Amino acid sequence: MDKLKIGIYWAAACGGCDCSLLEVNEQILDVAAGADILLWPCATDAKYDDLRGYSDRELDIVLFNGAIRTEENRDMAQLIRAKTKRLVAYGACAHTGGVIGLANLSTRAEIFTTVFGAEKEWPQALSNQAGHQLHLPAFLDHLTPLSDVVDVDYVIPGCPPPRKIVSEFFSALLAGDLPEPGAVFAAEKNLCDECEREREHTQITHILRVHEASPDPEKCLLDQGFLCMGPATRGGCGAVCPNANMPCTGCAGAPADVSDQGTAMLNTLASLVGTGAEGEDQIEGENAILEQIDDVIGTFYRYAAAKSLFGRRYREQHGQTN
Amino acid sequence: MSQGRIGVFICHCGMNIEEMVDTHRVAETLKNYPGVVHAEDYDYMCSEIGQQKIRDAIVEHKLDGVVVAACTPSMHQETFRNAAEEVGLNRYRLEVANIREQVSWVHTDREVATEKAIRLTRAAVEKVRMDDDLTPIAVEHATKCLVVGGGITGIQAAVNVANNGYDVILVEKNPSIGGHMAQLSVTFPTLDCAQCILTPRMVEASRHPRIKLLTYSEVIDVSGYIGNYTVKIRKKPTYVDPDKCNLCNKCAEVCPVSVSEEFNEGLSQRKAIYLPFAQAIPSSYVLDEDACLGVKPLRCGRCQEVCDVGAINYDMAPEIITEKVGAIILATGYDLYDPSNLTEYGGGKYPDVVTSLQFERMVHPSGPMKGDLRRPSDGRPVNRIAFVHCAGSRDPERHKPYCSRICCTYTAKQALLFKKSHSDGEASVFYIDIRTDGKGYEEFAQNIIASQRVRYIRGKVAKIVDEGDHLTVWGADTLSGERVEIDVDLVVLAMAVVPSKGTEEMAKTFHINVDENGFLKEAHPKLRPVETTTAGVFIAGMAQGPKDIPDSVAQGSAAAAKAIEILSQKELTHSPEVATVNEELCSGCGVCTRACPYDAIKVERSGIAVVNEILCSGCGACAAACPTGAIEVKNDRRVQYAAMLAAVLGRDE
Repeated sequence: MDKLKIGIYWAAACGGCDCSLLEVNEQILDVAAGADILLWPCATDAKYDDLRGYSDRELDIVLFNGAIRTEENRDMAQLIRAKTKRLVAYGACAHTGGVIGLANLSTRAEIFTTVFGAEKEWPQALSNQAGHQLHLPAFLDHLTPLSDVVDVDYVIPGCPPPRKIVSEFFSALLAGDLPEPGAVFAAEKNLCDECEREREHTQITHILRVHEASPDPEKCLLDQGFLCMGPATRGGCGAVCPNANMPCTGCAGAPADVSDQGTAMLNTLASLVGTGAEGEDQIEGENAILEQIDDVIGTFYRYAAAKSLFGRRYREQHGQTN
Repeated sequence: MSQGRIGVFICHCGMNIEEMVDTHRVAETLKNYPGVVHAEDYDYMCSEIGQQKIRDAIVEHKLDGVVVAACTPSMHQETFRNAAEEVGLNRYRLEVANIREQVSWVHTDREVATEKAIRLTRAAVEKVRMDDDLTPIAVEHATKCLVVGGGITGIQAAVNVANNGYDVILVEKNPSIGGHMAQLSVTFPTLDCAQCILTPRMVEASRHPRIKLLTYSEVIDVSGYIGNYTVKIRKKPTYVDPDKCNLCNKCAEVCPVSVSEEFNEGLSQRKAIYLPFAQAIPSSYVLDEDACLGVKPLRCGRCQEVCDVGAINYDMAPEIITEKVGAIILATGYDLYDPSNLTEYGGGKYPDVVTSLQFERMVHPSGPMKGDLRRPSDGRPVNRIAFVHCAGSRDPERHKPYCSRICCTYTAKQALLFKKSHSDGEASVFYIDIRTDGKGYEEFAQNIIASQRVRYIRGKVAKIVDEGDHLTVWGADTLSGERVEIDVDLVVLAMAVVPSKGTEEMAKTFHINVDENGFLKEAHPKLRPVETTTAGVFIAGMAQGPKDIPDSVAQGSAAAAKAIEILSQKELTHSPEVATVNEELCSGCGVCTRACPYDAIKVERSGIAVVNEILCSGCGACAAACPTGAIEVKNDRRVQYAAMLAAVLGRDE
C-alpha cells in the first residue's frame, strides 16, 4: 500500500499544537511508517514553492493549526485547501479562533498602537529596508477561525488537543477508517458527562476564582462557585482539568447542538445563581452575584470569541466607525 | 411538518386591529409567502362565521397548518384550535399571531404597524411549517377537594362541593370554624343576627358525611399538579378529646393562666384551657399549649384532675395527615390592619379607641359587655361616640391604597346600633365619601343618616387626644371648611382589612401569587376571578380582596363550581407541548432541574434527565438553561425559533 501523504501547518498559533502531536509518544513512529510528511514548517524544511508544486488534492490530509490573522495565513489556508483531499481544523485556534480571538475585542489600530506605538512606527506591508524591498503579510482587520476562509472536513478540538483524541485520530487515519467529513473528534455530550465530581445542583450564591480558594476535589466546581465551563463545553478530553482540580475553561468549544458557547454558559449560569430571596430582592441578589464575574468575555468566550454571535468589535468605543 | 399547505386568517377585531393595521394588505402579502395556499381577512375571526371560514378553508384547500393573526393566543387560541379540530386538523398545527396586543394597541403609525403585523404573521407561518401533530396527554385524578379556611366562604365552598357528591377536607387553623362572621353582632342591611344565620351553616359543614373537618390545622406542604395534589396537613393537639368533653367548664375554672381572648378581640380574658365561643364547632374545650404552664413536662395538671369525663390527655401529639386531592380552594379570609399603625389616633394605645371588630363584640349581647356598651378604660357608659372611616384604607402614602369596601355600610349599621340603645347619645361619623355599593346598602345607609340623627362629617380626622375622662377628636369638615373638635367617650376606627396573617407564606406553599397588597391574585380580574395561575387552585372570599358576606359566599360557590369542573371529569388532559430530552446529547448535568419552577425534570439514575410531562407546563426554562441543547419543547423547537426570527428580522425579498 502506498504511504499516505500528509501535511501539518501552523497559521496564527503559539506552537503548542505542533508539540501536542508528539504527545502520542511512540505512536508517532507508526505515523512515520504509514505516512510521508510533505509539509510541516515546524519540523521539516518544505518551502511554499514545494507546496505549490503538488498537483491539486495530491495530499491526503493536512492538519491545520492556528487562526487566520494575516494575509499569509489566509492565502496558505486556501492553497492547502486546494492541495489536500481532507483538511483538519486542529486545535482551538483553527476551530474557534482560540485565545487569540480575544484580539477581536480590539480594533487593528488599537492593537498596533499597543504593540508598535505611534502610527509612524507601524510596520508596512511593503517597505524598503537597507536597499531591499521587504514584503510583510498584511495584518487583517480581524481574526477568524479556519472554517471562515475555507471548507473544513474534520475538527480536532482542544488547546491543545488532548493526547487521547490525537491518538484516536492517528489510529483511524492509519487504518483508513476516518469518519464521514463533518465529524468532530470529541464527544457529542458535554464535559459533565465525563466528570466524576459529585453534583448537588445547589444554588450558586457566590463566584470564586481559582486563586481565591482551594476547591473541594470531590464536589462539582460550579456548585462551589468556580466558573467551570464544563456544562457548555464538548467532552472527549476525559475532563482532564476538573480532574486536576481546575475548572474547565472551555477549549473544546460548544457541545454538538449548541451554536454559541458563551451564551449557552451564560444561560446556564443565570439558571443556577440565586440567593434564596424572592421578588425584587431576588433580582438584586442575583445581579450582585453575577457582578462578581471578572472579564465576562474572557471567561465565557475564552476560546470562541472569534466564532461567537458578536464575533468582534465593530466600532470604536466612542462611536467612531473603524 | 407541514407539506406547505398553510392557511392564514387575519382578524380585524372590529376596529381594534383594523384601525392600525391594513389587514387586507397583510392577507395579500401573506398569499405570496412560501407554503401559504390561502389567506383572507375578516371582521371577527372568533365569531361563528369566522370560525366557519377556517373550517371551510381547511376542507377546501386541504390545509395542513393554520395561522390566525388576531388577539393574544390566551384569548382565542383554544377557540380556533377547537374549530380546526372539528374538521380533522391536528389542533397543535394552528398558531395565533398576536397582532392586537403586540401591534395595533401599541402603535400609532399604521404603516409601521402593518409591516410589523406582516412580519409577526410570517413568523407564525414559519412555526406552523415545522409544527408536529401532537396528542394531548391523558391524566387520572383524585376526586377529593381541599378547602383551606373555615369562615363563611370556606364553609359555603365545602358544602357546595360535598353536596355535589365529592369528598371535602376542610382545614381551619383556629380551634373552631366560623371565622370573623361568628364575631359580628348583626349583618347589614337586614340586621340579621350574624350567628343565627351562620351557625346552621357551621353545623351543616360539620355534620356533612362528605366533609372531613380538620380544625386547629394548617397545610404545611403541597406537591403535585391539577387533579393530583398531595397535601400534608399538620393538626395541632388540643389535648382535649372533643367526643368526651361535656363543656362543664370545670377545667377553665381551675386553670391558673389568663390570656387575652381572641374571639373578643382582646376585650376580655380567657384561660389557657377554654371554649373558643359558645357555638364553637367542634364543640369542645381546647388547651392552648402556648399559654399553658406546660404539659411537657407537666407543670400544673389541675384541669385534668377536675375533668370528670377524662377528656383531657396531655400526651396528645401533633398529627400529620396526608391527603390526595384533585382541586384546592383557598378561603383564608382577612385580618384588620394593625391599629397601632395609626399613632395619630392612639390606635392600640388609647383603650377607648377601638377597632370596628372590637365594637362588634362590645355591642354583641353575648360579648364581653353583654351588649351594655361601656368604655374599656373605666367602664363608664358611652354617651358620645365617633366613628372614623378609612382608618388605614385609601391612604396610599402611609397605609393601604385600596378601599376596604365594607366599612361605610357597617359603620352606618354600628351607628344605628348605638342610637338604638342610646337614643339621646351623640354619634358622629367622619367620612371621605360614602361607598355603599351592595344591593340595598345605599338605602340602608341613607335611611340611617336621615332618620337617626347621626352627624356625618365629611373630612378626615387629624388627631385624637386622650383627655382621661374623654377623648378629643380633631378634624375638619371639608363641606363647611371649618375645623371640628368634638369630645367623645369612645372612638371606633373602621380599620382597613388586610389578608389574614400568613397569607403570603401560604401562597408560596400553594405556588400561587399575591397582588401588590398581599391579597391572593386571581388569574384574570374580570373573567377568571376565582382561578389562579396554578391550575386546580382556586381562591374565594376576603383572601382575594375586600368584599362583603354575599360576595364572599358567591365566590365560595363559584370556586366550588370550578373545583367540581375538575373533580367531575372522567380524566384530565394535559397539553402535549412539553419539554423533551435528547438522550444523545444529555449528560445529566442537572442544570435543568434547578431551572424548572415546577419540579418537572429530574436526572434519573441512568444519568439522563427525564421530564414528568404532567408537571411540565412547557415554559421552556429548562431548554434555555440546558448547556448542551439537549432539551427542547415540543412545537417550540430551536429550529422553529430560528426560522421565526429570520421571518421577523429578515429583509423583504
